[in-house]
Amino acid sequence: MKRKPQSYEGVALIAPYTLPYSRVSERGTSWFVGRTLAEMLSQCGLEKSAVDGLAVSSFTLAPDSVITLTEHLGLQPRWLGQIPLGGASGVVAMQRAARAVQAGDAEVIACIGADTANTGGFGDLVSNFSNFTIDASYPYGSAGPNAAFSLINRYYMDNFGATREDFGRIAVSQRYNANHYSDALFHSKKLDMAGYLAAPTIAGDIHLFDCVMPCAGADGFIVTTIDRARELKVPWVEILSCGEQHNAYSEDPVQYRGGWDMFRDELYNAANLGPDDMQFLQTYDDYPVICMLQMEGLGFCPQGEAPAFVRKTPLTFDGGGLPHNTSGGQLSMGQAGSAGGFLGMSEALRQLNHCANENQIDSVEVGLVSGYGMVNYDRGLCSSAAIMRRGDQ
Amino acid sequence: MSKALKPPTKRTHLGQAMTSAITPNTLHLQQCQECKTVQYPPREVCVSCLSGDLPWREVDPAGTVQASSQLHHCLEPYFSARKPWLMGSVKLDCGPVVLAHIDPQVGDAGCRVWVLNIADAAEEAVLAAIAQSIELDQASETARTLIMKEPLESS
Repeated sequence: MKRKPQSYEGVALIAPYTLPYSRVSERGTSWFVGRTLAEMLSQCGLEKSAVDGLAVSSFTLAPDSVITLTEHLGLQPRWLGQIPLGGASGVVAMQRAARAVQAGDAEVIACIGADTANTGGFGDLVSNFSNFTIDASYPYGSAGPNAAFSLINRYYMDNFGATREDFGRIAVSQRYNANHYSDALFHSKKLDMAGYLAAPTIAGDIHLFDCVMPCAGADGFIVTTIDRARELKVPWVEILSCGEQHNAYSEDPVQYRGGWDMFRDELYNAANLGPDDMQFLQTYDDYPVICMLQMEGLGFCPQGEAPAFVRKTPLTFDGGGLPHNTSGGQLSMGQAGSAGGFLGMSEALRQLNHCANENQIDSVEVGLVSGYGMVNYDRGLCSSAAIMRRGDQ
Repeated sequence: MSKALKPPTKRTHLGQAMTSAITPNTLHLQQCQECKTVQYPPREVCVSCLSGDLPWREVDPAGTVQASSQLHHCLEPYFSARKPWLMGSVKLDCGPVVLAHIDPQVGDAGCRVWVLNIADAAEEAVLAAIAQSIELDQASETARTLIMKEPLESS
């Protein structure tokens, strides 16, 4: 019998911030980390010297790391974390930081996902992503993640009857959300189903609007105690439950599920809530099919039934169904590397603090953020999820 | 110009070991000396028992296509000049799932194939999947013709 995780009582998430994304940047990654930290501190009135913990996720930080960042940014932390889990990083950074705060190892931990995007940087990243990538995936057409995901997409369509329109429902509703979120890269570009379906082919059944646009940017938030949040007089969000599972179902010949269903019962039980209670879902949307795997794995619908679920459920922030990726997600905001694993977190915190943009969900109190990350070979290895509630302020 | 382009040559020392293992019309993969697990991609230790004794052995080349994809957007000019490039995943009867270059005659998921190590245009080892309608003793030659295809006329 597995031991039950302890509660996250007493922990507050504050100061969510999204540094506006840009298509390319010649700046170094430390700029994105540093400017995000500055904006987060200014938002909650903390001095830089109050930061005693730092968790960072980035693909473009090397040869620097979280420790060299302390000198670059002039921080003297007593707790550091570097979370190399791609799209699962935001939830995981939050979980690690929350435990450190609960244990008294640190009291103000800045969690930041940041990446720059130099010209040619994306190609360098995907061709050297890992040893398995170098030996066993990049030599097969050098298409980067699009190749692996086109196989996952094809397998899902063959086995569960998804159509391009089903994926389109996710992409089009996210674009609508982005049209109401001023910092999204595609804020001013509309997308309807006809436009989605007419997009050029990229790989197999993956077309242009199934893909994220690599860009530069950062997302972050601060993990501290509820007592400190009260002192600062800022709104906060509490963690009801959290889980992660890695390299799940490695025996499946093609990925059609992640690890979420392996911990979802304890996730919902610990929160004393179920999927129907969630007032939003922020998934990791590197491709719409991966959103479907999260909807299924987290119990919003049975395995294989996400196509039917998205046909009957409005996914826009104001559609009265399940608000999904309410800032537009990566599909419409852009994928700022590891920030992509944090944007669901920062958007969830803005929503729960009732300080979102025009895309604010009415009367929102509780919601779910999930993560997915790291295609080493033919599938994503990381799954994470957290249920969060607006603080009792 | 594009005829001079080569597919990616970068490999780890484990990927280079596959190049040394190329033998016509066969498939060689790492097989654990301790527990006999056949594994791919190549690893430093056995994925099953963590043994470090992993000789490259001839294994059953038969497998079943799981999914295939035509790549229209390739980062390497060699593939861009020849797009769409066809690749896919194959579940081998001996265990692992491999990504491979795929014979255009191979159908969709469920098609039975031979998977072979062959040398690509850069003389690096790659895996290629050929329809089982091709005799196994012709498979390497067919595979090599397939993946060495000429670039498209530039438009």
